Amino acid sequence: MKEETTLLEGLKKGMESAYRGLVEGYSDRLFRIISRFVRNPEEAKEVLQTVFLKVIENIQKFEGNSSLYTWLYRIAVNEALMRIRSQKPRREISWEEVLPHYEDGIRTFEVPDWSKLPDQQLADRELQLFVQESVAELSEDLKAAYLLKDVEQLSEDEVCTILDLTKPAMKNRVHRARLFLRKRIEERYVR
Amino acid sequence: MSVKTKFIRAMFAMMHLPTCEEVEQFAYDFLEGALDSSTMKVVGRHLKACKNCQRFIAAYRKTASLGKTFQKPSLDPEFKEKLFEFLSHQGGRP
Repeated sequence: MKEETTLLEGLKKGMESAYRGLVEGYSDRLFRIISRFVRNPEEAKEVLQTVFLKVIENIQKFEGNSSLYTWLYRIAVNEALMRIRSQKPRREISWEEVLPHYEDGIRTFEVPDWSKLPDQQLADRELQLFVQESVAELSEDLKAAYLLKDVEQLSEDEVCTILDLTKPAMKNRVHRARLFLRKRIEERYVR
Repeated sequence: MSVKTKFIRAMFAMMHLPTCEEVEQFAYDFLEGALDSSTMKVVGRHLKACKNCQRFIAAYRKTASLGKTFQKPSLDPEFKEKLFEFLSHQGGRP
């Protein structure tokens, strides 16, 4: 916390040592989250550069209502989302196909259990790539929630602050993203 | 509604257990251990009685954990140096 305060003061004064601290302390983590959205590494680097530019342009306005780290993440996620918005439109997901089916609240179809696949197969590079491709199909709001919660493993409070969501809304988005991915994996590996 | 579904529905109602759909809606908090103890108990009892929901929760849990296996891309030191130079240049602008 003390380090963050010192860094923040340095950034506000335009000190070179603070710029160094910003790059050394945060560029890898920010690049990682940007790369989850913008999958071309060169484009992700461009976005990261824009994020840092926005940081120094807006640092005087940062009042410390959240941690510096959360604020940086918020800018990075917004910039990454803006970049993917400018790309080709994604295919629309039909929720009817993805969500579980019930009859008066009861499951009417047998649920296959792919979680029993051998661990080696689940850790397989092909599956990882398939899941990452499937994440790319999620809508922006579900994707952001899933990536921050399940991939970046941030706390619920951090995800809510970064995405400016209430806790129930955040949980709902992560839940729907998981339902979608679960169904996609089931379709690919079980049927 | 089929006779089987009607029977299962009636059985859960008689045992004061949530439906499969309700169990799905509790799945996030169930995994996080964030349900209150009485809800946790009835969800647990439903899972004991319902193979489909057991399989659903197992796959849901696995889906949530797959995020941890994503690769972690990192930046090359040369690009970090370029970023630092860029910031120093931009930061010095009036």
